[in-house]
Amino acid sequence: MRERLAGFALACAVCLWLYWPGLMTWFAMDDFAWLGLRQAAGDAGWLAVLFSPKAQGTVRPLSERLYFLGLEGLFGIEALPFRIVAFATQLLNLWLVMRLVDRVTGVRAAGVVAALLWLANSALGLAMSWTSAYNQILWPCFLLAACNARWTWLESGSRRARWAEWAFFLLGFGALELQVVYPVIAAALTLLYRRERWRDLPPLFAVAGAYAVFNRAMAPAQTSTVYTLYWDGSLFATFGTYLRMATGLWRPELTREYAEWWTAAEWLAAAGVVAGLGWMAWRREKWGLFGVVWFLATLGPIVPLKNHISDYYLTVPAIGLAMAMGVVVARRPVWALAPVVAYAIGSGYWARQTVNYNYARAEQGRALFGGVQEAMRLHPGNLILLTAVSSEQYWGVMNDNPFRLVPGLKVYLAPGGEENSEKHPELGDPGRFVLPGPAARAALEAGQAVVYSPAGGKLRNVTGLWLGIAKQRWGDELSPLVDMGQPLMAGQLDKGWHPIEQGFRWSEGRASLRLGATAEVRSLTLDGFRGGEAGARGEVTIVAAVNGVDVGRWVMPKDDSSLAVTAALPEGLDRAKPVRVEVRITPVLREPGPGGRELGLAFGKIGLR
Amino acid sequence: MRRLTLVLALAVVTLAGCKKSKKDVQYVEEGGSQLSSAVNVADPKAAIQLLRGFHDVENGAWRWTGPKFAVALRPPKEVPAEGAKLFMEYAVPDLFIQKVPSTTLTIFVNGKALDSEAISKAGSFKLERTVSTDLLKGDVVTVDFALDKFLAAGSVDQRELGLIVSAVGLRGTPPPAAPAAPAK
Repeated sequence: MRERLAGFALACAVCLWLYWPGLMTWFAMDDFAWLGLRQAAGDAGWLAVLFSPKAQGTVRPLSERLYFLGLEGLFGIEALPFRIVAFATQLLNLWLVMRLVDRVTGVRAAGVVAALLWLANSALGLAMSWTSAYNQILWPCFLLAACNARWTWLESGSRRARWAEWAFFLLGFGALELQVVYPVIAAALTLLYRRERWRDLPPLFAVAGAYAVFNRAMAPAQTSTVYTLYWDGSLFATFGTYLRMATGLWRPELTREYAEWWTAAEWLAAAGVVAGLGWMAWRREKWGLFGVVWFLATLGPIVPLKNHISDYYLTVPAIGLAMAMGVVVARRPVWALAPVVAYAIGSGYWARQTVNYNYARAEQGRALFGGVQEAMRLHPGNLILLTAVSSEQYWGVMNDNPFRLVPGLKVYLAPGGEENSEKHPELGDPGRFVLPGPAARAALEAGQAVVYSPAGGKLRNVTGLWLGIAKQRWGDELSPLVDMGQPLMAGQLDKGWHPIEQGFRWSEGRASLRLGATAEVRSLTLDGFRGGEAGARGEVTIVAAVNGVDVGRWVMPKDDSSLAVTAALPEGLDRAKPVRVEVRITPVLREPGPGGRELGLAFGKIGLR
Repeated sequence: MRRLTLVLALAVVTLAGCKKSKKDVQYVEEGGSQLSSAVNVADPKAAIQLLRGFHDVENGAWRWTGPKFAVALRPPKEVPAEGAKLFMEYAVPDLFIQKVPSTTLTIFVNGKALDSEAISKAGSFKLERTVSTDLLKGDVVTVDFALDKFLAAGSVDQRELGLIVSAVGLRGTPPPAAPAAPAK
């Protein structure tokens, strides 16, 4: 027992030493979307928040919904509790790996070696330093716990162990939908070591199959190619890429100095794995085959995603190889020395680099978020315009709109800020955060906005400088896009508009506005909805005219509540003058009671693009 | 029990670490500083003058631009009668020319077009144009650049890529001539 605890202490120490910055890492990217769950719960209800499928049909109530809801509820927007829970779960994983290897193989020290080999894999870098990747830590916890319970049952026939296995198996679906592969792993363990107990396997497969069908039925149709499954020849190329990545020493996007040395280390590590597996096969060690089955089963569902190859997906498959190699290294330490050293140093280096990168990126986000909150305190009620936001800051922080988590905070990108960022249309459009130039000028002149720059790491107030730029650049120009929920843009509205409501305005049956046309704009876009009438009007017809010429006519079906349409601008449009846009809606709604308003459509944005 | 102790110790140590890192959140209220007449695009303080279309700093020295990019500059204090010089130091990598054999850079100062620049060779270049004094009134001059052809997002990475720019500025008086070497 003392030896086992010493081994566990060693694994914990290595985990903390290697991934230490991950414990301190603040939030980034998707984390901010999950942090908004508490607000969403107020509108949609708890059940919907916990179980409604998100993008790609994922439903992960334990590793995402409850994790964020619970810890945000207890600690607020504090990353540390999230990181402590993630690290604690990972330490538990190490214990479970050790126990499973030790119990099944009986090879002294193989468990702790397996845990250490897994820890060194660079695939763990992301999971250990990004809170939204907690599913990759919690899922193996259930997989390993279920395997341990199954082994107890296989050894002793304990009914409690059998129930425990089922509990861990079912809970695993709350962590990650890939839990459907558990029956394959359970079958491997059973058929390799206690073949006579195969009869309890079919129910596991039945439940997994039913969940897989349910999950695919719930998944929305993919509009992006990123998460499309490709069942073609690309499967082999993707699998080959993952095999190479499994060494922990290479990723497709990695830029490595001394590339030939890295390649040599890759070959050495890969040769070590192949030789190790060959040696186990020659000795008829079943454990090697179990490790391979684990690797293939947990990686298999990812292989059709040829456009979304990520080392993060190797977090759990790497356990399989680590468990198999743990036995080889424990039995033949001298033979294994060179490959293990090459792997541990090289892969561990990239793991730490990943953690350091995520830590630095999150620190930028924390500084931006904290700085903006302080700016709000200094300038209560003002709009905050951010200029010189880097692409990294935009995609790491702003894209998931963390500022909505602070009541009263109104943050925009300064005009032009969207053009500093990489293009990731599948993730979002930076343009949605931009306050158009004329509106920015008006807000600055009215003293209703301040401008801050995060360039250089600290947030600087550059309002004075920016006011001069805005006056020069956007003189008396009209904005090409009018956000109906933005009071600063009301000057561009003509007749037929009701007062601002929550981010939109109702039009009357006929309403008009003026827009500025730059040389680049080609089309008119309208975003609107018909409100809570539940189709009482039936079909609604919308006609848009530009400078008196009809450019588009659309019919909203009775059951369709929103409108997002585009129409080409007329040929020969005079862009030097304001462009007059008119919308006509039929039929209209009439509010009940005397003096009830005439309502056409509720518009969010109208603009030229 | 030992595990519990470990987790508690972990929490204590990390709470201490968190307290320290919060000091990194900084904000500076600035009022009186001015725009520069010339900017080194890698200088964080100059970043606010890069109005649109500049990607992140690379190698601490330069930035890729997008197809359209703009800077705000302060007019030089002393401008000769013929006008100030607008300059831009930029580079065109081989990779760009392989995919885009020729492109044209149009230049607008406060909305008025200057002579465009034809680009068809890889290398380092310095663009220079004369800007008449009537465009240099006021406290701010905005300069817009646009390339008619560029590297689309996805062709190299996820950015739209134009030129590699290291500096842009307006120069009033020509730089002083280097002193003549003393006769031996």
